[in-house]
Amino acid sequence: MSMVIDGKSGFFIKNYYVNRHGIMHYFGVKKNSYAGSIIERVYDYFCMGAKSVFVEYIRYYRREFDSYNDFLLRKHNFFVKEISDINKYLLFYKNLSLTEECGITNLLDDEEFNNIIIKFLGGKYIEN
Amino acid sequence: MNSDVTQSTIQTATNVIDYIGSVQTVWEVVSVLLLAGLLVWIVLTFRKRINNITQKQINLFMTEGKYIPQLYIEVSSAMEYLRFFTHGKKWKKRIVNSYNLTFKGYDGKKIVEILKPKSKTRLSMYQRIDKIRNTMINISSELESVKNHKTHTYEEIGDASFALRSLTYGRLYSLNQCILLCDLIKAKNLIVVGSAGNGKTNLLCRLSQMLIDSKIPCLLVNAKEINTNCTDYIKNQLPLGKCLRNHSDLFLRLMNFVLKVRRRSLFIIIDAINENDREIFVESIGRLLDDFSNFSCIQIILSCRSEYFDSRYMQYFKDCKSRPYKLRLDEISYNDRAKEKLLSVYSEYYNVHTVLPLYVKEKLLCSLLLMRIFFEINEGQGKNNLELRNAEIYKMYIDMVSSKASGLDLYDIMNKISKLMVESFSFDNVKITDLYLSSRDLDCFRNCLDNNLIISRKLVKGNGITERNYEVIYFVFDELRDFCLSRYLLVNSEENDDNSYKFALDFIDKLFKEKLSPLEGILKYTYYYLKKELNDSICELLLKKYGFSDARNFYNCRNYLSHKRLFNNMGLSLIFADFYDVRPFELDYITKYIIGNPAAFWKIFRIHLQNELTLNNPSIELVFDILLTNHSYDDIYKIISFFFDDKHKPYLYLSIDEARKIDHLCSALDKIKEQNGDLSFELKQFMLLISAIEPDEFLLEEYQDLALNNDVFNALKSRVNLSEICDKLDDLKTKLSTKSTDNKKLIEILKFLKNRGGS
Repeated sequence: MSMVIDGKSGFFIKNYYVNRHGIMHYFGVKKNSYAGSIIERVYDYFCMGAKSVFVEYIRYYRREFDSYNDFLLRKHNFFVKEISDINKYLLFYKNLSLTEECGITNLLDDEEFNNIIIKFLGGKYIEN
Repeated sequence: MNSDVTQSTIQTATNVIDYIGSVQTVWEVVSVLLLAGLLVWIVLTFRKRINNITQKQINLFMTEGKYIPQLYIEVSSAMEYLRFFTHGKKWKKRIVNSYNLTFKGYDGKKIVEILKPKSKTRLSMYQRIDKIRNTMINISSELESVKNHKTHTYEEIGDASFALRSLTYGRLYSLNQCILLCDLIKAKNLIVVGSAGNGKTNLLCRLSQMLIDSKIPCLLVNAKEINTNCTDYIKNQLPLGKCLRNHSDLFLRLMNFVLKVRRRSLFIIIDAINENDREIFVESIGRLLDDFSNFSCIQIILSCRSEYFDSRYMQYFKDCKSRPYKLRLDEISYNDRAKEKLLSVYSEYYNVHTVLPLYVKEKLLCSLLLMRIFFEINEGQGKNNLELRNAEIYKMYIDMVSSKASGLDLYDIMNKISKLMVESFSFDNVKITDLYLSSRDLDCFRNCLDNNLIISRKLVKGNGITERNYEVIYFVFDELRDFCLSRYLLVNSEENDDNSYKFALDFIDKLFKEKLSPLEGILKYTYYYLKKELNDSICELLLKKYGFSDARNFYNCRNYLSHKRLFNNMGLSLIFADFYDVRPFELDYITKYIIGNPAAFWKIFRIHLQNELTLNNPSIELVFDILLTNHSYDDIYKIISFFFDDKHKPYLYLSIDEARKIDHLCSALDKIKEQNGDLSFELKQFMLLISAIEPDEFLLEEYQDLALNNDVFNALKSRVNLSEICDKLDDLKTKLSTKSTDNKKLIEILKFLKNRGGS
């Protein structure tokens, strides 16, 4: 399940194919082509610099929060139902408000393209 | 001063060494060892003991209701900023990683290629924080100059300048965030500034709890309790024991050293410095920061209301050598999801498990204060007892606050403030001296002001040669102010046996002529009260006079208490303020209004449809009354067809994927069916009505079948008086009832004809 919360925080499940080569292969584009550059930018928008939520918890927040679940509920404001649906240990996160838009969000206004991206990132788009 | 302390430290150390050197007997050896052991024990257990003191203070706040841990939600990034401040250089790596990401990836490389920045685009986490900050500032200024067309213009680099400029915006925002975090890490002391009800105490308590859990020493103090010199008070609070009390400086030096080795800090947190007016406190709070500036591992966090900070405390900190870094809570934006979470947490904590009507939920999400008041008032109430009306909520809240303000008649004081505002025709604030309170009442009142969110106080400076400070009091939130003013006007009229409420109405008229902002609120609460008192004649007069006016445009949003508007028309807002009852004259008003504004009808329908979903009142019945009363067929057709006027949308290129209004309606109806099992009887009638009037709308085909449901059909027909609509309903029923020809019989006929034709 991938979620964009408030248009700011982007969460996704990092499967084995969620990487730069994987997205190129998924869309069937070549690396140094124009289409390849667009897809690369889309990947950069969602995934470049994304951090593992679990690793962040272990490194910086484990003393403050009793458990990983508690951390997701109280720091990232997940609801209990949402946590039960996902493989939370593979959850990655990126603050999209700090990310360069560069027309990517305009591209994502196209419903079909948006659905394909969400499918690549592992699931259902939920915008709060 | 540093050298003096160093000198004294060296002197004391020399004395200790000399004493140890002069030890001769076994008892002296034992006593020296014991003293040394005691000192080590005090140092090693210092964190636990000081955190125990902090925990007791947190428990005290919890008892007073100022901090409820279960209700704490991170609504903004304020807590994250405080984490960066407290963790300091340990979290430097996160900032460096964030910076390094700025010039990575496809677009990052393009920027570096075109911009050729003078500063480094990649930093090492082992660099000093000052250097990191300077690099960020330099890069930021380079990007700023690109953004402002000062460098890398079109003339210099051609078309690439457009791409470069568009790439700078997000990066500048990201860099500013990194610079802010660097400032927080570098800062020695911090002051959290926010307006009333912003959650400063909550935040500091949460921070203290976090520090205790992270095994970092912290001391939380309520500024109100400081009755001596701040530095002396803090030193007295430290768990040193009597023997070390006189050598607190020395001990703090030793602790500083130990903390430095362990790469930690001791945090002294002083909450609400604005609540302490004692001269000794006000004069020494600035010096406190300077006194502790000698200890590199002791950091101070303060909190203050913004109303006091600018006028008073900023002056004291201006003279400090180690000025605190100001963190304004008002400037941090609130997270929408967090507000939703807060709503669910409040529901859980205050045991309000009823599904709220959506219009109520929208109102609550706009204002965290209103949300808090709503749940406090409705604690433990079931669906039928829930108070949803603003006026009642505010009244109950004021009652609750008044009952807590011991020795003081808060209602009387609010009345006085309202009277002064009405007489002076000025609604921002009134001088505290104009209340003519006795000194005992004034002290009681000042105490009360710091603990409630209805009225507050601040210092105001005069100008020029008449410059002087004077204290004023004001209503914290405009809505509460308007509520209190309405109350005063109505009570005044009633006390003077004025049945026509002339005083109140004349005042409203004056506000309208002067186009002043309290008009909307006063009108709303006055109308609500008079309607409740069944004073239909005055309500009708108000509706006639102000219903179509532009009174809503006078509103000047001074404070963020809920100002979500359901309707653009003033009259509709007055009528639907309580959503419980629509009088005949109000029905007349609505029916006349919606002829010229069909959109308003559909807005009313949407609200009632939402009530169907949440099984709240009022139901769709009212919508029928509005649509069918005093309207000709042409009027009804105009209102209904407005909803379907976007038929062409799917055929327009730009709106090809946009949903029509009927799409949204159908999905809402599906949701109701999924949740409730079926649509309500009235809703079915309504859908049948619009299907009959718009028979060509293919999305309503499933609802056209309702014509075959005799109960629904007959009930609708008995409701509708217009022959044109009855005819349409009959036509629809006939169309659906007409039996289609049996296929088998058709085949037989064809065979017969074929055989006859063949022979």
